[in-house]
Amino acid sequence: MVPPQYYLLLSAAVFCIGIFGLLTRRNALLFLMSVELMLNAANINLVAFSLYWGNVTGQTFTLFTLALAAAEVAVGIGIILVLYRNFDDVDVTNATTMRW
Amino acid sequence: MAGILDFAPAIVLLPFLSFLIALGAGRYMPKGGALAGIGATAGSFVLSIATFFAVSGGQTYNQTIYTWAEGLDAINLTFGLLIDPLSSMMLVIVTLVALLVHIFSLGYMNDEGETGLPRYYAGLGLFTASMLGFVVADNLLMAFMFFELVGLCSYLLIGFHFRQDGPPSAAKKAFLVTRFGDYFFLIGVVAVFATFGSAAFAGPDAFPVLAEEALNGEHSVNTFLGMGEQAWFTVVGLLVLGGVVGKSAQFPLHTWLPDAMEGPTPVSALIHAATMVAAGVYLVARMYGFYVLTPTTLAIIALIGGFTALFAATMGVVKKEIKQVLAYSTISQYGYMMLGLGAGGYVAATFHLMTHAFFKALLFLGAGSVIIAMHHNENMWDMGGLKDKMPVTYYAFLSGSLALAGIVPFAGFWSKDEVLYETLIHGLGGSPILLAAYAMGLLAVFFTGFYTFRMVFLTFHGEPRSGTARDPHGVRWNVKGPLAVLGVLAATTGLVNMVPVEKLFGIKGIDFLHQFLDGSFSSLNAHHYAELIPYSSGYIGGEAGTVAIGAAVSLGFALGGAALAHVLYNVPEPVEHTDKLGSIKTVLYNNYYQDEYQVWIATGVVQPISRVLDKFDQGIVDGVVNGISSVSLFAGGRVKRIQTGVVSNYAALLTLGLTALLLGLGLLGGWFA
Amino acid sequence: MIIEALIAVTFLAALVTFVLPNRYAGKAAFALSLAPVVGSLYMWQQYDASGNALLGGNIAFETDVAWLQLGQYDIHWMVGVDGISMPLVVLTTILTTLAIVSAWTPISERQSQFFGLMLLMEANLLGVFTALDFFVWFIFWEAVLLPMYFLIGVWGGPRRKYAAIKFFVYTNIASLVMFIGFISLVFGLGDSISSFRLPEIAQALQAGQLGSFAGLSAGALASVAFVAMFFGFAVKVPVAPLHTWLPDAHVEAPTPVSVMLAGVLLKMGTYALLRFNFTMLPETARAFALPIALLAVASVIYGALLALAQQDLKRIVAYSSVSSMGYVILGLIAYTTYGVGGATFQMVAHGLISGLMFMAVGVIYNTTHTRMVSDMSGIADRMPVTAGIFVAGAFGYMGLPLMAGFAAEFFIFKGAFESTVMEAMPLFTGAAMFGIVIVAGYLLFAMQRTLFGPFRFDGDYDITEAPFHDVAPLAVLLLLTIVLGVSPDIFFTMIQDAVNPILELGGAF
Repeated sequence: MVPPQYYLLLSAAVFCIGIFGLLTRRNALLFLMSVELMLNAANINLVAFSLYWGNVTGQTFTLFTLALAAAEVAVGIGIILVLYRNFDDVDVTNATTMRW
Repeated sequence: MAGILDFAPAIVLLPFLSFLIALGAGRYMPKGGALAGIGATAGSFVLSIATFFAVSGGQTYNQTIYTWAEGLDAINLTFGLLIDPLSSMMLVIVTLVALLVHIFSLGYMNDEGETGLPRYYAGLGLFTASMLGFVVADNLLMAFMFFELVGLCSYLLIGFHFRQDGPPSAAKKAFLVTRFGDYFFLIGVVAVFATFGSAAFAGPDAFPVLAEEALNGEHSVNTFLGMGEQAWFTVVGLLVLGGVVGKSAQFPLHTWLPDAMEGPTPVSALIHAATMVAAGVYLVARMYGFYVLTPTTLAIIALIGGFTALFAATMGVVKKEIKQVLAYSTISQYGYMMLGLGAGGYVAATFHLMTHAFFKALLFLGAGSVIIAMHHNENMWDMGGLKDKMPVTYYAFLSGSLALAGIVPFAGFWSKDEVLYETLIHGLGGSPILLAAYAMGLLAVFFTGFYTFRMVFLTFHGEPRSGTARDPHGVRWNVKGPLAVLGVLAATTGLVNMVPVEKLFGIKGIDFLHQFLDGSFSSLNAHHYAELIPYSSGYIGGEAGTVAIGAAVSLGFALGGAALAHVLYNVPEPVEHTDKLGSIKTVLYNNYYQDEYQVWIATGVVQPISRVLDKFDQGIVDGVVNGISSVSLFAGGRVKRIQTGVVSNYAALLTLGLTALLLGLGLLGGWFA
Repeated sequence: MIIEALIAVTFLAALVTFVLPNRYAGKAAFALSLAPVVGSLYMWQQYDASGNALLGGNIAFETDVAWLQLGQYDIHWMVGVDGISMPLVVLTTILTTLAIVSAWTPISERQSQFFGLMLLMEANLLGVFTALDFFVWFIFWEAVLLPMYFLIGVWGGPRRKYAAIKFFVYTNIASLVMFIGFISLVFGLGDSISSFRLPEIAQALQAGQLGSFAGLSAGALASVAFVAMFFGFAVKVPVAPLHTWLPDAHVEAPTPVSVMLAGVLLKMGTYALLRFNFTMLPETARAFALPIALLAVASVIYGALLALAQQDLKRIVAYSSVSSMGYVILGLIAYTTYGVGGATFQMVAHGLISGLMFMAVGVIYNTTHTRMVSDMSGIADRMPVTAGIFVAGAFGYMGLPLMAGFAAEFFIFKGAFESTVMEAMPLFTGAAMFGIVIVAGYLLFAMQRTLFGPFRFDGDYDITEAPFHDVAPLAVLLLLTIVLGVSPDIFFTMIQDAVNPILELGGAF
């Protein structure tokens, strides 16, 4: 059995990649993907601890999270479409009308 | 106690009723409500006469009739009636003068086609009612309340011609200056309550009696600010005196009175003779039992009185308008009354209050008659020679003038002489202050004689100096009637108290007023006051000798003044001899610049202070408030810059925030230890 | 149940008025507002309480039911009146009705909302004066601000937004400070209380149950709480130097709103001061007698001097309110029957007289469209009835005997002079009394220049006598002022009855 540290390292790596993408990319689609990575990093943790404790609650929870992520993507894509329609671009730094 | 005195409240209520009638229905009534006023004051007059005789017969009345504010675990504040010789005498004076003024107003107001008559008669009714309420008040609070209402009425009536510039200004000044005096009076009222727990003039807890007992050490009263009883009573007495000085137009609060001449002349007569100005002196007489306990207060009253008598008389010498001369003579005469009261001459001052009421009402109504004749020109230099054209007015006016100047045997002589006599003997008894006051009073007699006859000669003698004086407007019965009544009274009322005759010729029992004022509540009669007076008497050549010398000197001064006026002004074409006084005349004509400095205090000191405070309030106080809001707005404006609208920045802040939070928790939680 | 009925009917009236068409709203609001008037007069007639509601007295029309649970504390719906609140309830209903009538002329748009908000405010004010549970009271206390904010902010003058926000924020911050002060007392009482009912809290404080809290000893906690609450209420009163929201709010507010603001809203502050500070913490109040008396005198003199400097008739009356409310503070700190009773009486008296003055200024403004003293003179020539009532009201404000203002001021002066809280109270009283001279000064000056003299008006409007429905409320207020002045016992007896237990707390007799 693979020790949980490896799973945790993997999850942390995926999460950091997600954060890195979030902070450096300007394309809204890449934003969405980065967020998905971070979400999945959390899922990996859930599944890994589920396996470790021999309890399926974590895995069940992950299934819910996956469904939620799908829904979130649907909403996110919708927002990106509106963004494109309004700003002719999917660059998030252009859409700064909601400031002070 | 039953009988006529139970109707005493009606004396006050009748004129009040006429006020309501004139106010509510005056415009639908003939004569603009005058008849209601005449009826009411006539009714009050009849009741007053009946009251007067009942009191002469030894009856008195002292009853609480209304509880204004009932104290739970505290004292009650009440209204009540106190009818004793002093108040019954004053009731007769006030109702008689008010009745005659109402009748005279028919000639002065109605016949001259004035508008706003219901308002006028409503004001007269309320004025009379307020004064009567003040006269019968049985405690200091009720007295204060009606005292203030008298002030309100004077405001309304002086400012009767409100469409012009002068009267509203004069009315404002009258109210404001007397209000300044009333401020002290109100503190005095409050202090009396706080000291004695009662402000009754008579009865078991009369405050003068309590004060007397406290000074005798019979029981203690509250004093404040760490003062002893004598000192505190002096303070309280002086505080109440503030109201007196304001209302009775004594120096330095006399300035409103000459301006008050802006009011219709009958109102001036009412104010000067019987109501407002008399109220101040009457108040001192009313609570004389308290004042006699504090020699300092008495001395101050005497000094104010003597000084005002002289001071006002000198200003009366140079005035051009007939009503102005009379105004200053009023101030001067009330000075005599104050002098009398301060010098321990309670009866003398009351006597002068009575005679003055009659002859001053007469002089004002006479002046009113002249003013009607002159088509409302009041300048004496445009008159002259009116003697032959209006004989009734002339002889009545002459009677009043002789009384004012103090020529024997007219009323003013007897009363003024008694005031001066009391001052003299008490001064000789070892009080240099009274001697100084006596000297001022005596000098004022000369000026009084002079300005009085200057006025008479300029108005009635010589040749007419203008078209209107050659062909004056006639006056009717409603003017002549009151003049005749008052003319007789001014000539004869002195006979009720011929003390000099009694003392010189040893005829006992003709000092009727003394006897009358002795017959009161034991704490309120003249006899009691005489025992308490802190003066001793001294004489030159015995009592009779002093009487003779005093009377001769004052009569001599009066005749001297009159004679000088006769020489200077009783010529066909008089000239302004007072011009020879040069700059003194300017000072006198400008009333010693008393008005100027008081107006300066109002407009040159208080107003700039208030404007500076306004700037301070808008700038500093409100500035701090607005400053706090500006600082908040500014800080918010800076902080909101974080909200850039760029999602990446938000994400970065989130990440940084999370990191900072973790680090912070870690450091506090000792993870890195 | 009558208090609940009173508040509920007023709320309902507000709701009904909100949905009515604009053209009927004013008349309907007047008709509906008569219901609370009748109700409050019925209450006054049936009034049978004795003693102080907070100090174990017999409370009239009391309801007390447990409502919510909040930690260890029960929240009760507790309402009732005693001799202090009864006159204020009557004042509120009568003044609202008259203010509604006086709004017929000046309010020409969104009438249904305006009159609805007026009635809503009345309902909340009734709640403030009758609630005896802190939680309920505080809800009403804050809820009063909302209608006021909109009434100034929507129907006000040119700077209405500034004035409305200033009013709202200023008083709201003050409420917050007050709330902290009060809650710290509640925590200091710890387990000795189980609800926020004011009588329970007051009696626990009297029983000496106040413990230490947040590192403060009981005495220090009482002082801190007293100062915090005093600040909170002093803004509402307002006491100088916390008064600057008042002139702005008054100047911008339409006349009927000014009437409510000066007539009733300011009394919330003094009412709360009496209920909270001076009833619950009497020893602390006595300890602070010197600064409070100084503030009172400063308010009286400073407010009056500021009024003297104003050119706008409404600002004159607004600043004179600061002056008049200073007397209330002076009376409260005196701790004598006439002092505290007079202060309570002054709340009613000033409510009537300031309402009268604001309305009178408003009636002149309706015709002239200016309130500047320098823009007119001799108005009495064209508007004799209005001018006559104005003069009468001004003399009432100056404290003319036999009008309510004199009774109140005299009671306060008498009570303050003989007060034993400080040796120097006679001096403070004497200083404060000088206000009666200054008030006469500025009102007489203002009247001389606007009402009297030759007629002159710098404007294009035709100056004629005001319509009957403008003048009628003035006449009613004048009549009430005179009735209360001739017979102050109408309220003064019940006021004293409720006030005396407060004095016994510190042994003031």
